[in-house]
Amino acid sequence: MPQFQPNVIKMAAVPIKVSPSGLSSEAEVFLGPNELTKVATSGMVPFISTGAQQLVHLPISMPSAEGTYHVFIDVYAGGILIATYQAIEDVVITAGVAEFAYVSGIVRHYADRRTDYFTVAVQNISSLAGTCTLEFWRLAKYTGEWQLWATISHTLQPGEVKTFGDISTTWVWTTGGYGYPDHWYAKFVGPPGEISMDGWPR
Amino acid sequence: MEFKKLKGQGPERINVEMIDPVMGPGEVRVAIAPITVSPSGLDCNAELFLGPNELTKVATSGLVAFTSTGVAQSVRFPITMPTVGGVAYHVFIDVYANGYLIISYVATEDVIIPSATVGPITWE
Repeated sequence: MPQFQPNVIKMAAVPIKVSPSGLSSEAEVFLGPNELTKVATSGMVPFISTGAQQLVHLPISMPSAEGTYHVFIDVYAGGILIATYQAIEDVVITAGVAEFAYVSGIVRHYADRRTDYFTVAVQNISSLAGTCTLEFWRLAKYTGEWQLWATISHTLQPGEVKTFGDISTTWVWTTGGYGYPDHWYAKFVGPPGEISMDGWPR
Repeated sequence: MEFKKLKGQGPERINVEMIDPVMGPGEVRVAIAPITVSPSGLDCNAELFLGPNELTKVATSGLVAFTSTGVAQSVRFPITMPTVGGVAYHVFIDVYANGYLIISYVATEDVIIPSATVGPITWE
């Protein structure tokens, strides 16, 4: 379900086929709770029918009120309404979502002679509170494969910085119960993007 | 909309009042045709129909009865447009007097019944 912020201008690109060709046609996309109530509309956008499918662009300003809206398209030829459609997906208008950014690199911590763990600091750089969920991935040199090891979530207020990862979530063996050199690669993946580091021998 | 004669006696062309040859599928419209049948006093009928040719009636007003006056009189033909769109249909008028087909006309313009389909929306 497409999600947009209030009042933003979006373009609905709609493939429309009107037959026969050469007809003065128009199309309108509008949003509303039903087909009789137009909360937002592109207005009539003219085009000439080709008898084949053609992409018609309908610019529309999203509603100012948050909520879920049905999407309707009306097609006219020669001034006559010849088709009405409702999209199978509604549009959701939401004031916005929080945005996050990494404010540190991945830090490796020595917990004990056998265990290290990784952390990264994330800041909420938006004006909205939100929950940031990061995936912690690790790769052991002896396996050569990335492994999703943990999922960590924190709720951050606007401007707040939090540390993701601790001994219980982002740990790795370092002395190698497997008897291998403790080379580990680690990365975090989430809304701020992906950040990675190489492991190094202890 | 102008009609030209296919057969019978009478003027080579007549005009039928029509604002726009584009019609909606299944729409009910009324064609008004000025028809002159002489002499006056004859039991007459006229029919307006749409089709790919004069033998195939996709839509028709049916026979509309009137009594000839010997001068032009406006005859009204209510007709329901075809539901199949994306097609241009020829327009014909047949005129009968006392049961005999006396004249046939075909319009110089077709009636267009448009159709439309819409694909999935992409938001940009």
